[in-house]
Amino acid sequence: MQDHDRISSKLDDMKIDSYSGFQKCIQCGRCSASCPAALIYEDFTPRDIMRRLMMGEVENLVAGNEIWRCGQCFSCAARCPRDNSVANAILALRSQSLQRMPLNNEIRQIEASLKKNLYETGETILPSTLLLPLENLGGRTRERCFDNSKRKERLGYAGDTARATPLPKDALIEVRILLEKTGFR
Amino acid sequence: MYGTVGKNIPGDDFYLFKSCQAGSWYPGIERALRYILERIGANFADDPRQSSCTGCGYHIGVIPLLTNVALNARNFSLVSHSDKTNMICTCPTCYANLKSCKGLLDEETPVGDRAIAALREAGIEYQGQVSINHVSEILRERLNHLLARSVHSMKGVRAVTHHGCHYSNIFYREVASGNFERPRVLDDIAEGFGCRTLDYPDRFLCCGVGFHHTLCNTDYPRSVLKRKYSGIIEVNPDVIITQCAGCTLNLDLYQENIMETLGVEKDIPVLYVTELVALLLGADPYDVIGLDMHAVPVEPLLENMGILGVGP
Repeated sequence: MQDHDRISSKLDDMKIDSYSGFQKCIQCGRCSASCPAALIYEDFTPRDIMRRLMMGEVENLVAGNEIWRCGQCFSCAARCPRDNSVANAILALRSQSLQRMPLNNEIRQIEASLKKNLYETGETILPSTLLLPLENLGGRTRERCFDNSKRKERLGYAGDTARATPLPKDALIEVRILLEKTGFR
Repeated sequence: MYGTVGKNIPGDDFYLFKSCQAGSWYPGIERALRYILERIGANFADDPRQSSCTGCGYHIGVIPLLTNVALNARNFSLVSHSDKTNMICTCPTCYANLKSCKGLLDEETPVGDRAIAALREAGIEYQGQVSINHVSEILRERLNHLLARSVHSMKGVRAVTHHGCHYSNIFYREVASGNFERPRVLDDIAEGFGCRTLDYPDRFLCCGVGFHHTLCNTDYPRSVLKRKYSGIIEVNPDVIITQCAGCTLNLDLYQENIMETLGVEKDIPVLYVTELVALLLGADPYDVIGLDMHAVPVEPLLENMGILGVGP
């Protein structure tokens, strides 16, 4: 078995193989040069993620915090001269991390909210799960936007919903069957 | 690597693919789209059975790939069984995620085959004869029809554009105008209406949403936005035009705080492209688009463009 096949099977994500092509990385650093997260976090560089992946450090990557630094903007993918995608590789690592690690509470909370939303309404993101920390918004912004749920109702959208018309019951049943069949819970 | 491929962009027969971000925060984005399509006589289906594309959850890492592909296989089948074939997305994450899932299904990959098997078990036959388009591409394609219906212009207005990462950077060879480094889809539309668009430093840079970051780690959005706004301030535009509800949210809601941090007294309205085009076609700013939901006041721009209405 080739190295990349071994890593690929450890990650159990076909995108790591056919899309990210991580074994082609030449460590040129274009991904890191254009990465917003690399400028913010000292412990994160996409080039290093690729190097460690090529060296077979899957376990360390899956257990570490670095993979949660990425903002999924795909600047790395667009800029890579070898058609690699660090962002896709990171998704495969995150998936393994969520399956195997006792992760930080914030990610688990987001996971629980999105899954609950999807099962109950057929939508992942609802206003109640998109709350931005109010202390980081300006005073006028807080004042202007605090009443937006009422304004939404004026436009025909209820407060905590993303749709003017919710999914009908039979559609929701189909969605739930698919969730069960794909090992969602 | 910087070249783009030609795109076949449909002009009619649309299936509206609803965005959870747009519907949650700025429902006027979708209402404006319906208004525009009706004004130019385009046909569209508005099917409530469509589920979320789950792209936001997938990119955080918390929605599994197989679930993501299976739910979108169902969405494609809904489109195929309707009398419309052209999906029209307001969200770049929907656009890229749907294209990615369709690729996995069409290429008969293991995950695509498992998704189709799950669909069969749910009693649904997989059909995927659909095209996937972002609304900004459609507006650019139908620009002459929009101009023929416009009642206002953007003459004298100076704008910067911000294209969404998941439009420009994932299927980066398929940017409909310009290239991923310097997309021009929004610029073409605005310039068609007489606007002057301005280049600015860090045009490529994302808006800083970062998916889970904007919910639980505001260091990321605030740091990115400081860079983004530092570049925008240099060229002093009248408006920022966007093509993503998430970018609109981040640039609009955080702007006051970021400007304070940068020591700049300036309001720059942030308008999603359908909101802007609907205004130019005569839509009521409040009853149709709900512009009073925006954090940065849009009224000075509306007055500048000769659009009536100075507050709800």
